[in-house]
Amino acid sequence: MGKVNTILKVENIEKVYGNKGNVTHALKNISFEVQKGDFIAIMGPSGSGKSTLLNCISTIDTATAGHVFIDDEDITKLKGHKLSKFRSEKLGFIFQEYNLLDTLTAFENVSLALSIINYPANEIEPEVDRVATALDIKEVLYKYPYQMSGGQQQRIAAARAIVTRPTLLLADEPTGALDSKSAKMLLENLEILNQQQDATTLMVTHDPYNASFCRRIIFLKDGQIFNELIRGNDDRRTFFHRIMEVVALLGGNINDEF
Amino acid sequence: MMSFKLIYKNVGRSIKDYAIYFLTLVLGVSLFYAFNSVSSQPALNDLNYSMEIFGDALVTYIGLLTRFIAIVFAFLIIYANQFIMKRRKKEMGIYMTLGMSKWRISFIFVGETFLVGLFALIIGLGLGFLESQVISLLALKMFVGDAIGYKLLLSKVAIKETIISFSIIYIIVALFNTRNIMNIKLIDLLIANRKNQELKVYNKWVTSSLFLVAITLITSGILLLLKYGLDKNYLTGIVSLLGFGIILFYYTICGVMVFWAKRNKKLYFKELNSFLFRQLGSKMQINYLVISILSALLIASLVVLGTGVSVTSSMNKQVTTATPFDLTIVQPYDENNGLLETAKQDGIPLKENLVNYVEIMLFNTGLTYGELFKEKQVKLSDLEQELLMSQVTLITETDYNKILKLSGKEEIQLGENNFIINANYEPFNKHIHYFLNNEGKIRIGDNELTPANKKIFSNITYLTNSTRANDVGTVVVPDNMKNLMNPDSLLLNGIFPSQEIEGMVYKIMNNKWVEKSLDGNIYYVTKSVIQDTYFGVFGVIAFISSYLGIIFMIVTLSILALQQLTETQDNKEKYLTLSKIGADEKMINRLLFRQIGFYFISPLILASLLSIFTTKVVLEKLEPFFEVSIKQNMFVSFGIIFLLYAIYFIATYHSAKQVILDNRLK
Repeated sequence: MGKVNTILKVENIEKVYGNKGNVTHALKNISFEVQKGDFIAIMGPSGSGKSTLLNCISTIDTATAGHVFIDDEDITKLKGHKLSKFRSEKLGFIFQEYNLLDTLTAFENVSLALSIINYPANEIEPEVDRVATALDIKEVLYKYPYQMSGGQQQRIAAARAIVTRPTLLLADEPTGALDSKSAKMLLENLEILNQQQDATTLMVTHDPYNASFCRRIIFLKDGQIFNELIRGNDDRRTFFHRIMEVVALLGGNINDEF
Repeated sequence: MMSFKLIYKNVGRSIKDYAIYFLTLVLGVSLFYAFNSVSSQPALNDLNYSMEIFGDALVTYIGLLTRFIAIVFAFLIIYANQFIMKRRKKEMGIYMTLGMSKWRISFIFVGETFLVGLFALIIGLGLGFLESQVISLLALKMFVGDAIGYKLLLSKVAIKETIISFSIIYIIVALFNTRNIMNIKLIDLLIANRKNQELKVYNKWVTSSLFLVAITLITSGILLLLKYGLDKNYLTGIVSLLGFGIILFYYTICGVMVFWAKRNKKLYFKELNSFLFRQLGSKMQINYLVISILSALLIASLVVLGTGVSVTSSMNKQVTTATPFDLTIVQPYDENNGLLETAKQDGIPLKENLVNYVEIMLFNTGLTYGELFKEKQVKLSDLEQELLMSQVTLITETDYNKILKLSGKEEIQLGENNFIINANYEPFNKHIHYFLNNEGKIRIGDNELTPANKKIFSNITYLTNSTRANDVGTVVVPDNMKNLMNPDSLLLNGIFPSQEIEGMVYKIMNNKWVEKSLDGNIYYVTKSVIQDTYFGVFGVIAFISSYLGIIFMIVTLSILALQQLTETQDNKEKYLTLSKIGADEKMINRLLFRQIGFYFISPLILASLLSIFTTKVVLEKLEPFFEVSIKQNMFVSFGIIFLLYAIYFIATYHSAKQVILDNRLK
């Protein structure tokens, strides 16, 4: 690996909800860095603050204190138009509920992300084609969301997220609404995107299996960093067992459904 | 028993959802009543002879219009009802999971509909009663100058009509609901909010050709309308052509727009445009019928508004030209007494109260209008057939000039053996014109007179409050013909010093001459009477139609506004997604502006086009009743419409912005 490039730098982030009488510390003094090409998972039981952390990084929510630098720009200081511009150019999102626009075809859902950043009209088609090939969704490009399976829809959402070549790809429980086969396919796709297209990815998940696709895992508990794992040269199975050990240490039940 | 309690409680609980439905109903009932009570106004029932034809036409068209309004309201109410059903799908789902039978559920919903409907009917009738009073009071004040004739009037016929029509509408709504509930699947109810909307995919060629068909239908509808006017035999055909055309137009327009926009990549891939076009396209697939109905409503309001405004403005002009003097009295020729003497004998202080007057003699020669026009017999109404049997009126040059002088006009000069014709009854003018230019000779005794001028003079020779006694053609002949003609009647035109004196004298005449007048032995009329009756009735109609037009407008705009607001509410998630993928506030506001703008303007596109032609035709139909031509005055009505539009649009846009603002990323 050549020169290390810091893409995301989270510095002493705090998030406090509520009022005087009833204060909830969702995030307590969290700091970490993400390098270019990283594939990171944030894990933790429900209520650990993982989604809050993602929202603060993704500018969807604002931190009470601390700083978040993306490409050396302090996003906690951005407002209004600059914030939207930043979001559309530097970040890509994948949501649990896909959030595709049901009146648009798959192609248009993907191209919309480019239209918003005023991408030249005649270069839009080749760009969409590029990500569609990578994500294996070329045959559904002219279908509407309701004509597709959940897995296809989520891959369209992934295509929409990376078509603008964002600095950082953020995924919030991307497999949450998928069956295990589609989930595996999506994760493999994310892995490929990470390796081949150099997409720096930050994924929030509560599922150890999902996390095992990543290169690095940050564990949260009660708003604080509890542990951190780096995959190194482990294969996925080994890495998965290491993750399970930390999960056991974390206590509580990580699968909030039970 | 349980069900009744549930019905009662449900209405209370969903009062917010029912508010729109309830408001629609109340507004509908009140307008329906107000409109229907117009036709049972006593002012319309004792129309004088001249107004009878017009009155008949009015009753016919009010009948037609009532049906039209009932259909519009039925549609509106079903629409508002669907809005409620949509909101309460989840509730229905819960009832079903609890094991309630579909019959029971539909019983509850039907019960709710009727409960709300009953309240709306009662309140609507009350409101309608007030509305109709305000209309008549305002109308009387505006057009008659006082409100003496004003009576509190509760129209039983209108109440009956309203209750029957709305009962039918409620039953339709109930059937509609029951059918909906019977066809429903539990799974759809419980995931109603999550379900992706299914889109019909437009076929490019089918859509484009349907669009062309729509254009053809509309164009041919307009052409037929211009050719046949409001002819009853063709009206249904024309209306259906236009109706289908409008529906098809709105069904296909968005598809065509999307195809067109997609070909223009620079436009389609700019900012949120692809979303805008797709969103409009998909919404129009659902809403094309609503938009078509709104368009029809807009046409109706533009037409009645345009007509009302045009009639009012031309009436004001007419009132001054049609009444150059304050008084006209006509009595059959009497050797011994002139008109002033008759008045004196009957105890009417006439001469001393007139500032100026002329007293002249009307003659006949036994010649009838039928003989005069025998060269050119055209299709005439019964009334006109009757007129043809009556004798041609003649007056002498000196007398004619006296009248002209009194009305402040320039006098004329006739050569020997010359005549002119004065006439201002539109339907006869073409015959007179033909006569002057072809046959053109009149025999009096041994003399053959020729026209001094081929043009028809259109001065007012006497006041009239009926079409029949209008000047259908008065022949003006040289003074030396006097002895060769038979004296027919005496005519007096006079001017009063003030309106008070005019009123005072008129009262005395009414007192003394009532029997004589009924026997046909005297005819008298004053300027104010003409204004009060003749123009009064037209005025009320014009006023009411303007009023109705504005109400239609408000109904239309309310639906548009409500629709847009609920749509924005339903699409909150989409706007949130847009802002998550980086669309900034300005972009989203622009999107919202265009989206709402399109919805507001699209029904207006066809409405303004069609209303221009329809108003033209309606005014042509009305013109014979006004004798002078009605200037088509669409500016004022368009002005009013644009003002209302702007107000509603701005209000809707801002509320919609508010709706998504709550849900937007900071």
